Amino acid sequence: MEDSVENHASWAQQWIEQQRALLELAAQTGSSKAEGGFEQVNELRRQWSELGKTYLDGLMQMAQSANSAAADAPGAGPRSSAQPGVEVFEAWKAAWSNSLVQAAAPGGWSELLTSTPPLGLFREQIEAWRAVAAARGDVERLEQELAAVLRRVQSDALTLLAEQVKARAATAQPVQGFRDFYNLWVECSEQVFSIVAHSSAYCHLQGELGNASMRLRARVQKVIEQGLRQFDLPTRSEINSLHQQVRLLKQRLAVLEGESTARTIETAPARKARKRSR
Amino acid sequence: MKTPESAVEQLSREMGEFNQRVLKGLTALAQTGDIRIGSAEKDAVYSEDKLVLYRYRPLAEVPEKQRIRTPLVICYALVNRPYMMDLQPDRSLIRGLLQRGLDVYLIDWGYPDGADRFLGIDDYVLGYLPHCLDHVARASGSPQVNLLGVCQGGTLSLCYAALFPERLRNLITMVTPVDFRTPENLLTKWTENVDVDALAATTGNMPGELLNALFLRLMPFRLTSQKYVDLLDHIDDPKALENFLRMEKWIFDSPDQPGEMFRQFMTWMVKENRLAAGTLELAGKRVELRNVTMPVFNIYATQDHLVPPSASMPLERLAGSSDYSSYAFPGGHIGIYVSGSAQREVPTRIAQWLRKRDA
Repeated sequence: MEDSVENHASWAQQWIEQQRALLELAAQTGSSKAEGGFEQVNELRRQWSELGKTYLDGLMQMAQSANSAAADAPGAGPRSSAQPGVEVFEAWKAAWSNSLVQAAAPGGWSELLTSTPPLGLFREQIEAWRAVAAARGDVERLEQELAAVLRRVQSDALTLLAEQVKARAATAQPVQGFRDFYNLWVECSEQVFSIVAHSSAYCHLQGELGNASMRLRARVQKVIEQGLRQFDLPTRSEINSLHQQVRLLKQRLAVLEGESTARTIETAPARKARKRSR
Repeated sequence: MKTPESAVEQLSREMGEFNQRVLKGLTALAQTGDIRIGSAEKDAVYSEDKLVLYRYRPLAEVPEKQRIRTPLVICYALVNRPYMMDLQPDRSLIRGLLQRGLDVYLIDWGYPDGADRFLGIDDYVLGYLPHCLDHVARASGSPQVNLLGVCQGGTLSLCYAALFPERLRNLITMVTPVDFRTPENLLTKWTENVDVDALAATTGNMPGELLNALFLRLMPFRLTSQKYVDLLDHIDDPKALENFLRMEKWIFDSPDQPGEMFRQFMTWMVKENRLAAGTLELAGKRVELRNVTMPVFNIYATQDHLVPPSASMPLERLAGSSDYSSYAFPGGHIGIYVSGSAQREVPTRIAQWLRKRDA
């Protein structure tokens, strides 16, 4: 029987180690996910760079053609080695590439993208979408932070579980099978989580995540309502305004009804007296 | 002589049994029909907007002399549905009260929708609740009524009692938060950093699903995992399975909270603790618990993780009543309605307490 108890402790330990490995893997996946946003910005920068180069190459070809045409034109002077249009575009292209390389410094490109005020016909829409993107970034960052805290909870719970398994193995009540072990895991997890859940750091983080989610939702709603207005469709903001008006009217009606009832009660004795005197 | 089972053998046997139970459970679940809720017969006697006031039919077998004359109105919370008070014949606080000779009314707030998002606490405390109690007073011929407030409904009832003490003969509060700022109150701690104004402005009404997700988070491992594993122990008992499913339906049948009501409740009651501090004002009227002068019976649950006893107990100190009693039920926030001991103890204690004050 003792062998069996030792075996239990052994597979319990193996399971705990396996869970630890899974948590570490999850932590790695989480951090690479967090970096994903930066990779997306870099990809956008690369595409901008390509687009700019292609555009400038096109302009340069046009300039070359124009130069050739001018040189071949009747009455043209002797060909010069200098090609003014081409030189300008070469300089322009170099400046474009350099500026993109500079902007690609950590945070540079994303800062550039987010801090430049939008211009032109669609400035309002761009600004709204940009606000959505910023709010989404906040939510993702806070989600990662919360996930890291919850991974720590699980990891600490596993440590407590290992201690409990060991402690119980030394008593007359060793862990009796998988179900018993599972219940002990739940107990340990709740104990650890309860301490974390009451901490001001966790309360703050959870609250911040909630607030960030609401900001994201509000900004998405703004974009949707902008779209709905283009098709003259009703929006939640309009309906809210109507509901508020209805509520105010109901309140005023209730006050008037109350006053009317009070007046009726006040004048009732006088009316009765008048009736009697007739 | 039997060879002792090795750990691996035991593990594989346990897993095999577990799988068998899961299969059995799935079969049993598939065979479960619609879950019936409620047992006592009732009639709708008043309605306003989405609110419906029900009167439960008094039981014919209760002799006239054993009846309590003053009617009892139950003001349930806006969170979850009031059928928890009468879930099934053997789990029904209302049935227990009817059997003990009470004339029972219940306020059902309905399912608020977008049209209700600007309803505030004053609409409930100065509008719906007085209208219901006035109706009961008129219909019963009793100028005073007994009020039983449950959870958030208890908080609303306390506000009403402080503003209209003359209407109430007795007040009973069940698992009712009064002081929201006690150290055990995890929900309060979680809301500390939440921008409630932005939340209400964004979601409109507070979705019931969001509230449920929050409640599950209070004990995430027990409530999202262990509870369902434990179900497998009773899966072949049709009655136990039906009870479980009925509870499951009640837990997740969560109406949305009217947005403004939620915002005010969270800000004034939870964050600023105005009810306990005596600084709450509704429509310009100060709500002071010292005006709660009628007899008060405060029932709370010792293992309540949603409304810890420390949140309910300060009522004794804050209420102006000189006739204050309390009952600490040994159980949790839900067990106080559905556990076996609750069926015996809670209605009996309520009826005994009211009977003494039904002169």
